[in-house]
Amino acid sequence: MKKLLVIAALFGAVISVEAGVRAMPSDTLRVAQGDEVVVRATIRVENQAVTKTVIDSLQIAHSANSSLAELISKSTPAFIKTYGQGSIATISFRGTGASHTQVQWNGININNPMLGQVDFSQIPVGFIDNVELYHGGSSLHNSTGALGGAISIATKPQWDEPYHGSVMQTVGSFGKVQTIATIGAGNRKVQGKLRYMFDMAENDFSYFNTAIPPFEKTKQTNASYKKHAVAGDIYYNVGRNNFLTLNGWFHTSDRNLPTIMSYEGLGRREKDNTTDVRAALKWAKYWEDVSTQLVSGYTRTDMDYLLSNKTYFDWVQNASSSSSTNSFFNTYSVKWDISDRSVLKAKVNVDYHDVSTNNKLTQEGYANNRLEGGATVSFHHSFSKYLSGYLLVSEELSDGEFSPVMPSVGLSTNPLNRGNLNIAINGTRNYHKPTLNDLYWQPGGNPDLRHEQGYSTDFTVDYAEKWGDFNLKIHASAYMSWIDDWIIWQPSDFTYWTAQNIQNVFSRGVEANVDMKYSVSGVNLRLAANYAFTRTTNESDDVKELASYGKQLIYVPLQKFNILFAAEYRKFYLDFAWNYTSERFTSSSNEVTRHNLPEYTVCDLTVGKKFFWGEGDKRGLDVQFRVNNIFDVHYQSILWRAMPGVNFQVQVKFKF
Amino acid sequence: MKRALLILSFLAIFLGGCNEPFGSMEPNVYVDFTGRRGVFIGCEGNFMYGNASLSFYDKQTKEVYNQVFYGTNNFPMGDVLQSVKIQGDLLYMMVNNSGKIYVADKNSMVYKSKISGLTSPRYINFLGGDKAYVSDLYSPAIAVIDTRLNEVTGGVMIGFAEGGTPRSTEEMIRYKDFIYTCSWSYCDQVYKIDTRTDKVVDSLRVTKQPNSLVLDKNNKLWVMCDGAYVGSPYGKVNGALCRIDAETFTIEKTFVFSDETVQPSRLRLDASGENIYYVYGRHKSGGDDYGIYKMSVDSPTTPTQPFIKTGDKLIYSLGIDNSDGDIYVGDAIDYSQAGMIYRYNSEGELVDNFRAGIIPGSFAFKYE
Repeated sequence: MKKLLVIAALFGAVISVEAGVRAMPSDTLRVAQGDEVVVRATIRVENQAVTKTVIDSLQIAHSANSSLAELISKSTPAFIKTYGQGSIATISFRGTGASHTQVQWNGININNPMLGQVDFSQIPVGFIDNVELYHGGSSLHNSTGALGGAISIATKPQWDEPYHGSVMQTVGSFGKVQTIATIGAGNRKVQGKLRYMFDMAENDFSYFNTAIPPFEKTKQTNASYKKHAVAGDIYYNVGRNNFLTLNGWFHTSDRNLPTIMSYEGLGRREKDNTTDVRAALKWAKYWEDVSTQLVSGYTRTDMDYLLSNKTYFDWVQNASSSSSTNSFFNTYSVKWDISDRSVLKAKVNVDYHDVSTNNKLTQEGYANNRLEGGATVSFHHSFSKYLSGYLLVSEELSDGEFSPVMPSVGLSTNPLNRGNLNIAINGTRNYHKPTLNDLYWQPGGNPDLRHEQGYSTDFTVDYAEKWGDFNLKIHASAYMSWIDDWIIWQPSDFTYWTAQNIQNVFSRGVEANVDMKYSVSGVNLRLAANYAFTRTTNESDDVKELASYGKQLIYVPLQKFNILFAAEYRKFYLDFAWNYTSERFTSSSNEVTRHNLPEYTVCDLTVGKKFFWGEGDKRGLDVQFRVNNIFDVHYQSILWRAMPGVNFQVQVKFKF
Repeated sequence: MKRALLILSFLAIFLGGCNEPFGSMEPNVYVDFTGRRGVFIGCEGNFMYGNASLSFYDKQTKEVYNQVFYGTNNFPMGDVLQSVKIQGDLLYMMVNNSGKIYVADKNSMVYKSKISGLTSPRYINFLGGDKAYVSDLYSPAIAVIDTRLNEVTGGVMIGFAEGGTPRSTEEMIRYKDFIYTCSWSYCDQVYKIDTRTDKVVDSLRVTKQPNSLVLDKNNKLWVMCDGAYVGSPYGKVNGALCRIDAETFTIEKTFVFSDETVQPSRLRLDASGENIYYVYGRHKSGGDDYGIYKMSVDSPTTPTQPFIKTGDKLIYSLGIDNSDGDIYVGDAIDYSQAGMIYRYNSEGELVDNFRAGIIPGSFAFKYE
């Protein structure tokens, strides 16, 4: 029993255990595992004053055939900018750029070191078990350089299962076919899990094209994709509180890139083929008060981009480029529970990136590498039963140059001493290194770029209450963030663009989350809402005389609001997702033109039935029917990029 | 259960969105430009954004009309409006990354027709009758257009560079029965095309990356070459201005610019054919010698001081009004907001300035 609890604590991200591990006595939610194991999720002292969101595990399970882009878009305040199903999807967290969000997979960074960003459409939810978001400056507790925030995704073992698995088959509109299969086996010493995904779609949806006269229904072309992925995890309890974990992930994606809606040329084929290899090896060792963790990882991305056009005489190739990245990661971290009230954490990392890119037609390209390291120390202390706080200091070394010190400080109060109301404030100074493309891309890379600097502060209120069968959780935060020397690419002269430290950006806003659960007459109801108000403006001195001064950055919506309503009754379930995105500007001066993107509301409906047999509902069948964009709304996420109207999916999942 | 269904019904009814077609809800805006003298400004918009636009400036009243094509016709111009040109009563708009040319009435801006099925159209040159050439960035051929049918009827094969890159074509100029065009991207050639046979009959090697050309009063072709960028795998040379005798198709003189980092561009000619203008250094961050230069075609050297200094501008385009010699300069500012147009008289004195669309890149002067 005790060992099981320890294991659960070690591999779960935020959970602590009532017995065996010393932690601050605060409480929010009790989770029952079987009949005998009780685990309590708490705001531990090292998480006090940290603005963090954990996506509900049931929602992850229900979204297994979606991409992380869709899950984040529907479940968090972060904004996902997408070119459509299966196409490139990047994030804007608190109004920042895509490279300002750092993503960790099982403890290693998976941002592309050349581009600095992650394509969230390439992460299937079925391949991950846990998603955590660190908002704003709180990201420093997870990783450096995340001026907008950090996202941690991870897989988890199922120690209590001798064998388990599932096969999930989805078919849907526009030739969508997806298979996700998992199989896991082991004992309390060793556990292994293998996941496989095949995903393809023709994406040949019809849409009403208002970019070309005469306006008429048009079929999307050259938008198909095909993806294969295999991931495996091995968890080994070595004994004496030593644990080894090996994670691997191989992912290939062949995507055609559709043209803009106004295209009426003779013919165009544009595509990218990407192969990702990721591996992480973790050794964790636990003593009574001290735990250490060593994570070594490797990622590799190979990408080919091809562009061909049809001419009067024949097809010709206009672009053919390849890029390759190899990254090595090593992180060693220590956590010391000094007392019931104090925790000291330290982390050092040494990473190495080696990249190359080449345009085969023009021979433009570059090859370069970067050695970087960092150290972070944080001290977390509970001053009294009402007041906790932390002090964190981080420092980075990149290509032999130290970054300025990155400090963060936070205070959290629990005024009612009941654990259900928590008020916190924190402040952080953060830095983001230029990406390797920013520095070395040919042409236009700028080796003289400075780090982007971020200063942010958060004020958060968390409240949880339970009245009988009614559970309520409220999270609200207000933040302010300044980013100086924001790097943007601008055309410099006649032929190419260059990276420059141009903008000073002031971002401020509000994020709110309300999660209500209610059980009545055998019906389980849940209403979860996320709201984000994001005002992100260009405050650069050198644009003071221009119309863009003080204006909202392009493609950042002022408001984003999503509501998830879920109901379950006798294994029947229903999810209704309502997603609102406000108007987005596409010019830096925010002029009112016909090229602004109007607000839109898209709703999805999922209904399903689970059939279980055997003990503990572990084996069974889950049949699901989903209607996406149920009201057939015409909208654009990116200017003049077609999005599908109402479409359908049927999913059958067999679980054993 | 009933309660749950009620809640769902509520959500469905009150939270659902509308399904009106995107972008077509705004009313048409008609403006009559009949008899008005001024300039159409082709605003490229951002590559892959599809936010190209057309502006009109009435030089007598100094009124500006932005988004006139979209406003009149209720559909967008498309992706990257590379150039605009008036022919008779029609305005031709080369929408580069949308692979088409829109044709509209120059007085009403009402859409008349389109020439689709192109690859990457850049500039048009009307050859008389119903024939026109359209140069292309991605195709190794110039498209031959029937302007009566508005169809592509043929092609003038230019060819491929080593490695298989198509030879792009840019601005074109006519002398007798020949069209001269420069091949800019990773190329150093000026091609001579016989318009009777639609064949390349000769080519001439100039300085790297010729981007624009004009024909002066002496029948000399002037070709501006940017010399490629510093660090280019194609090899960087200093930008240069080449003077070619159109009759013999030989280089008479090459004026090499001293600053290797500058890529000169936008070669223009005044109505008399006596003076050429060009942009030398368009960055606002550049030196005092950055600006728009004016040079007599009979001058033995290039001028040492700009006619109009770059100053705070980010010069993106240049146009000369042949009716009065006024100079129009397009400032792209930050490439993502409405650009500024500066109008100077022929003496280089500022007459007016106004905002157009995003990245103002080309001018077509309307004289009646």
